[in-house]
Amino acid sequence: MIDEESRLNLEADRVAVYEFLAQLGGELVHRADVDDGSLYWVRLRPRSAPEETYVARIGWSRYPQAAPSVKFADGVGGSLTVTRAWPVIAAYRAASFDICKPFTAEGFALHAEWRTGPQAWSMSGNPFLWVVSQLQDDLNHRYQGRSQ
Amino acid sequence: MSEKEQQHDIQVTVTFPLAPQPFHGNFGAPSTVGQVRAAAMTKFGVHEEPSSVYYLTHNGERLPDERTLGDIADHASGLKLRLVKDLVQG
Repeated sequence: MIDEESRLNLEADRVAVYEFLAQLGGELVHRADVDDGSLYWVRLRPRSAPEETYVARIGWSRYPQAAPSVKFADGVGGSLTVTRAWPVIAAYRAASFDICKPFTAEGFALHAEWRTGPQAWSMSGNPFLWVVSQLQDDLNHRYQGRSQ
Repeated sequence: MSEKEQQHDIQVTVTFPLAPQPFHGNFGAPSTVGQVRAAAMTKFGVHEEPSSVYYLTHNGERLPDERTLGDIADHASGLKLRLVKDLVQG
């Protein structure tokens, strides 16, 4: 469960995320009746393979102070440990179910050196949109297929 | 595209998720994507780093720096672009 200020900050910033995903054929899902205020699910499609849909779960601990946990699932509310739910993209590690890049909690946990310097987590602007746009841009420009 | 068409100004808006406000500027149709990217990055206070590269997108398509705004805008008087910070490490 996240604190009330984080929940309100997420609610304010998620409006731009809805708009961004709608423009690109994606979708943001927030199950207020099931999940607490920290969890969001996004449906994303690679530009080169629009018939493929991926669902990522974004879990916030504090917003905007900390990077979220990001994992792919086999559907909204689905399992987070299905290899085929993951796209093949450099640094997206389907075998360990994490993304080793400096916009996820998993990445910062693995690379303490990212916590300072140019890769440090940024609280400016709309970090929620930043994370979702990173996922969409990686799918658009670095996608190599579905993990098997 | 005719020479006359190339001379009209295009109102360009560049958004960047980590910036509180978008960048706005007027550019001639022969201006390049690279010129807009440089101006937007200056406005946003970001610069190239060994671990990341920046590029502009239009409707999800990555734009090469050498492409002209007139080519992208066709006959439109405005363009909405997005600055992407591509994190290359992992």
